[in-house]
Amino acid sequence: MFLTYKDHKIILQEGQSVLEALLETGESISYACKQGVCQSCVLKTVSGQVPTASQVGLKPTQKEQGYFLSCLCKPEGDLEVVDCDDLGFKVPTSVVSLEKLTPSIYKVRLKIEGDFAYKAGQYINLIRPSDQLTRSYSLASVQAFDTEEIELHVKVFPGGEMSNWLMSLSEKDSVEIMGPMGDCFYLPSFKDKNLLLLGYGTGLAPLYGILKDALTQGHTGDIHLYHWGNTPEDLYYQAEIDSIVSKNAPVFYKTGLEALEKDSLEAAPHLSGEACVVIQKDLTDLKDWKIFLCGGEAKVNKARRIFYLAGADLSDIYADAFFTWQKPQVGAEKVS
Amino acid sequence: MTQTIYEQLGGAPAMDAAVDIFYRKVLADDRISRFFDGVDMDAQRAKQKSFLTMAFGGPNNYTGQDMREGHKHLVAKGLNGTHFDAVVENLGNTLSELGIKDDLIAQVAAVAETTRNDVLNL
Repeated sequence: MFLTYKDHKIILQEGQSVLEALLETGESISYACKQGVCQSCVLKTVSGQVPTASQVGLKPTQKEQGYFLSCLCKPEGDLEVVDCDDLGFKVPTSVVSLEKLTPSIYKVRLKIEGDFAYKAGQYINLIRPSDQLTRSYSLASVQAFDTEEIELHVKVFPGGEMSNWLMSLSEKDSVEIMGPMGDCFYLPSFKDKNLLLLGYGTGLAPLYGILKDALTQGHTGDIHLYHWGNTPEDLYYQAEIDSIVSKNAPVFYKTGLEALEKDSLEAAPHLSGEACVVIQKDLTDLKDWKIFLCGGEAKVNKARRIFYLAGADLSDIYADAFFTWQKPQVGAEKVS
Repeated sequence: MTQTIYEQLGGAPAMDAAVDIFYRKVLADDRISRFFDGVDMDAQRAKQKSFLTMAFGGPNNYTGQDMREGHKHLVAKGLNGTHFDAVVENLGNTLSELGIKDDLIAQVAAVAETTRNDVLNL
């Protein structure tokens, strides 16, 4: 049997695991426990099937992407594997439209001009062709509807290199993308589960796609969408979501402003106070819920911890944390 | 032949239940929760599961060096004996909840104790 990794074709010995075979050829693959518990040795298969026994403990959306534990994997056929952060090839796209949704949030639609398949809720790397400047953005589109177009919700930051460059583009200008990446997407096995979708600011983008994807796939459980921001401007797409809610039961939608004191009248018609506090009051027991969290890193990590402590399984919490790139300062640690 | 606690609890599948009890206790413990800030929770849970597997007498490949290297950055942030003790206390409470008797809990605490110097880089 053949194992292919980084253009090397390796012959597997009888009973040898993928990890053992790769280490033997001198590849530096991370590993620790060699028992299938610590998940240090996760790789991804791009061709061939891995035994399900080698996927224990991984999230369903990771299994769907072909992730497996290389220490446990004794293949039954030829395999081609890559590192989990291997993004494949750059795909060319061209600008279809740039639309201002709020003073600082733009809807960007790009036309895919190569092979590209994704699940609603995943994210891509956007690459500026001139100098390879790269930033990650979540996909708000659903491939079944949007076909060859993808949609991004871009927050424009003062001094933000990528966001300001995107705003300067015209129709048909070129942008390259790589991916898709991310574990935040809907699976048919979620059909009768309750979904909790919590997004901060442009964290709504992947959740909007997941919402539409779930409904298209005939989701029967409840869907609760919470969109929170710092200012009322952050709460975009209200009309679009209201339209979805009015046509689909049971879908529930609440918006809120975290910066204001709880129960503040200034927030109206939005709620005020912390999203997690409101959610815990609305949804008392999160056991068996599938939870999708998206937005700034600190908020997402805090929400994940709160929901885990409230009874949700960690493997049922799908989190996409956004971080903001900062210019490295002289003498300061580089933030990545 | 006496069973290990790992076997008594039900082996590998039981470690999922055990880790969720243990990890939640640790996150809710104000003495030590700050050491878990900013970590990838899924990765952390996997490590906790490996640790419990080892502490309960299950199969593991952790070396003292792994424990030492893995905790150095926390020692730099002030990790000390009181925090180690708090973790062992949560471990004991986890086992109580799972119905394990005190004498066996003491055995697990003894196994955990053997990692003190490595964890605290002493």
